[in-house]
Amino acid sequence: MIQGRETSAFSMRMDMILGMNSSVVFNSRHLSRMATLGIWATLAVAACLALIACGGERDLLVFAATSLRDPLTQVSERYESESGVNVNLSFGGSQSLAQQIASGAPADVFISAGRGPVDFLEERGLTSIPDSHSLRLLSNELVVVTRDKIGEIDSLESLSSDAIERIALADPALAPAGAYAEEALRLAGIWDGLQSKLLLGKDVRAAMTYVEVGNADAGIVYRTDALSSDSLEVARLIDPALHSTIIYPAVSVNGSSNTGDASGYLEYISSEESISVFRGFGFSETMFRRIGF
Amino acid sequence: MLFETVALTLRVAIVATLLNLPLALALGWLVVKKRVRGAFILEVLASLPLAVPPVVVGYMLLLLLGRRGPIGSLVESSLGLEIAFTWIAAVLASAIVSFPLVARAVMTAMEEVDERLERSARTLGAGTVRVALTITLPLAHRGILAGVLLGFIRALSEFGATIIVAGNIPGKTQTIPLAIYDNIQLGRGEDTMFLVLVALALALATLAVHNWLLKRSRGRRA
Repeated sequence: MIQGRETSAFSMRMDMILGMNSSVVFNSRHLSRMATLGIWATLAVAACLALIACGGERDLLVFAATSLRDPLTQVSERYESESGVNVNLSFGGSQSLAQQIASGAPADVFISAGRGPVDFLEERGLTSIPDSHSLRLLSNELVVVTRDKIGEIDSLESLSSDAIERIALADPALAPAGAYAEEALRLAGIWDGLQSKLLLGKDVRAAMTYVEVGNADAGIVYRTDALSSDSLEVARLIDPALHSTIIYPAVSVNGSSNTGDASGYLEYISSEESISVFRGFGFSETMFRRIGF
Repeated sequence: MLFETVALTLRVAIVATLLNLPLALALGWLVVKKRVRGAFILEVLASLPLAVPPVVVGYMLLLLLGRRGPIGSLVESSLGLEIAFTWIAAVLASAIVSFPLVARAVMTAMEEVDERLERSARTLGAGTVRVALTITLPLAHRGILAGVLLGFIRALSEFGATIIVAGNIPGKTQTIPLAIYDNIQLGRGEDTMFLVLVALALALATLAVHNWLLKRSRGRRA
């Protein structure tokens, strides 16, 4: 009985939460019974529709670094219309995507914003970096962005000034953009001093959004992301010598159910036509070989 | 894409609710009507997902259903089917998180059925199944339906568990809350607002029907 009281106390509380004060009274019992049956029937029909719609088609699932969002979406659309393969794109911080693949996410292709997450997968036997081929790769640069002109940023050290209260970065543990930025700030000798000012986003776009909405005064993002934003200004290009070379390795994932389309897709995105799309968004191009990658 | 997101969300929430209903009915029967031993523990366990952070539910599901998890690896080797990071994982996450709402509403509804009626039916010779089908369920059906709707709207809103075990894959596992999250991060105000309005409209409509049902089930007794 105590249980009974507990349950109805719960439902009374739910009533309060859900606002049960309105008093709609239907005089006709018949009407209300019909209505209730109608709701049951609607649910039953909806359930049938939901179950019928379950059959999925086979398509290609591409996990890619957030910074590739705009050009890769465009390139993939072209690939779709040429090949007839349906491409699903999921963007995120490269390391969090790699972690998802390691936990069983059924990605067919992975395009990372750095070497680290691909190594992470290779160690787990989830991808094999081709030895014999040299691949065309994309490259990028880091910039400091600000929303308004808040003093001059004439060097990285200006980030330490009091005028800048918060600096947005991608989380170095989740996205290479953050890791490159950390390298540069460490080499400039200001990483430790900036700790209390850092606002970490889950990926580079999240960091950029922090600056756009005014939660951070400055941010360190890829040049290509900065170019895509209307409201941000590039305050400073970060000297590429301060961090490791930014590269975007593209690999197929071992155990993919669609290896044929995966290699077709990889070939397509490194074609001259696709590379020119990436160039249009501000990416540069580099060649890599297995050795010295 | 936005339409696809809404359709996927509805599909996930409906299938999740469909899974929950029979389980909640069975649990309600055991706890409220049969008063089995350990009913107290069953009740606590059934409400647990309401009390833990959904992320915890997601993580536990990922450990179980992931490629190397006990259930995930078993299903993959026997059926060649992957669960984690598919829409099925989104269904399971939503189902578990919304289960307490369905279960508690079903238990309340069953509790409110006058036991004298069920006893009378039994003395007139009706068996357990017949009592359930002709007395308990018909008298409790408004309350049960209200619980189903509450569970449905909670399943529509699921975020924390889903993003962990199903990921955030557009067209595959990206439901409305996840798409809103993505669009906020990308600064896409219009898409965000569209999905926010869809979420609000679905919630309002479902809650209105839910509250009307509860009012009817109360009004009948008064």
